[in-house]
Amino acid sequence: MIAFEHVGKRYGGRFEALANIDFRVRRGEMVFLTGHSGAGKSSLLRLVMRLERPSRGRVMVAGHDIDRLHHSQVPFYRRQIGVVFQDHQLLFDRSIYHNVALPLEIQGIEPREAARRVRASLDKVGLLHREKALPIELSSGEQQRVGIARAVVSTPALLLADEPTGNLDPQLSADIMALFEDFNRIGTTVMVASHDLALIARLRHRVLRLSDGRLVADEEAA
Amino acid sequence: MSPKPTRPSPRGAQSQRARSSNRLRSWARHHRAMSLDSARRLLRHPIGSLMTMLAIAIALVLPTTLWLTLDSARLLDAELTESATLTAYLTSPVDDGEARRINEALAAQNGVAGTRLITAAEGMAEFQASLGLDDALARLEDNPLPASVVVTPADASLDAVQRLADTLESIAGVEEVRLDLAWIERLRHLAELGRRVALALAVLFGSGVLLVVGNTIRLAVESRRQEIEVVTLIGATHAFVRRPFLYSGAWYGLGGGVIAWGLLTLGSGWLSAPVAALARSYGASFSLPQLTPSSSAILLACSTLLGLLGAWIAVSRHLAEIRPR
Repeated sequence: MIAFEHVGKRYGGRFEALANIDFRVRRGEMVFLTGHSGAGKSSLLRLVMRLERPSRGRVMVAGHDIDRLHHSQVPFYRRQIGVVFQDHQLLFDRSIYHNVALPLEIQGIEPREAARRVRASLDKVGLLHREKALPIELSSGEQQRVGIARAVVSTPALLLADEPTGNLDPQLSADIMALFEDFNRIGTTVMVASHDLALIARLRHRVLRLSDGRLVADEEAA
Repeated sequence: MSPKPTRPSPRGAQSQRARSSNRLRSWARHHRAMSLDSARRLLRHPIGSLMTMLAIAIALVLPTTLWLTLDSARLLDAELTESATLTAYLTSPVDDGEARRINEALAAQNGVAGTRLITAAEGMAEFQASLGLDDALARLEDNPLPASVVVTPADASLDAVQRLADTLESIAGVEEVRLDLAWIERLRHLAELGRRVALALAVLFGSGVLLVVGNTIRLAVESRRQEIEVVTLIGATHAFVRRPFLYSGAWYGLGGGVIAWGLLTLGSGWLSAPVAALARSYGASFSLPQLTPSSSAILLACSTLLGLLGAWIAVSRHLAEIRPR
């Protein structure tokens, strides 16, 4: 699904965020990306989302070199990836329902079909009863679940999450991770960047460990 | 999963047609939603929106007034050319019978639509009546005015009239042909000057409208920065992101156009009484240029387009700066 081939990323010609990153993620796999802050986790995810382009090497997603996508194709590429952000990036001027519906609106899905999918997605994260609420009325754990519902509403083949449990207590974090595992179980490839080592250790998935922009360990699932 | 937009399946044209009609429907749906949404956003801040529209309206009023004035001046010009006549002064002294004969000779010329003989006595009478100088003229012993023939040309274009004047001058008994077209020429130069001034002002004030709308849209883009970043991250195209702002710009332009239309209508109503009185005192009938339905439509279309264009420029400039973090 994802293949990094000797990828390097420099910012401003000097600072080396990633160096010689080389790994593969199979379709349907669940992978944790870990390392101290500044190790390059976010840079790596940004490369997969094509928010950045590699300075060296190739990033292949589903067999395509995404660096060679024309900029007009990039939006269509991103529609096939679900992304969960640490600060969940919800829009505070609209209801939970409309936040989750946003990707479908962008893709021009017919409203009745969209409503069905939004409700299914909200049901999955256990927030169907809050669909009319505004994000501000929700706790941070609930907000993060809305973020996840939005990421999976268009049933992407690849789900990326950047520190999705960063601001949550251990119990809520475990709940969120369990959700990712659920999506993984139905075939979604999941890649989660997190520095919550205790939680990661408990979950027994493959772990890619970054340090100073280098891939220092690739531990297969136990 | 493939990073490219999925290709139509080889199952044939039917499914592809269904898909493109679907896409068209969803496109139309988004346009409808965005036009309503941006109208609602404008209404949510009525004072701010109204001020922007007023600024646009004020910028539109002056060039529109000039344009309307020139338009009616053009009509006036056409009328004047139509009523352009030549005056052939006959060699003095000439008796009435001879004058009538020359009049008939002139009337028989090619390119002459009609003639009117003014004998020396009639000329004097007209002169007295128009000047009101009875006493002074009565003191003259002889009538110093020559008899004259007023010739209406068939073709009123300047060249044709000039040619006709040359022909008439060569007829025996005609002393001089005066064509008083110099002032029409002058009026035309003046109108041309007016047109250029109006064009320059239209460009200037049109740019003003672009700037007003552009600045307003720039602030709107800035205030929705987070939203733009998020929708870009989840796969919105530039067109999708731009659309609500373009509609806002068009609404601002349309609103400004409507207000400008109202101001112009009010203004012409307010000025029409004194203008009519002034015209009456000159014995003329002149009315202020009016906004006809077609010129109103042009005004509204232009203002809407200016709003759209201003928004386009602002959004394109600022979208390039907004990159998801």
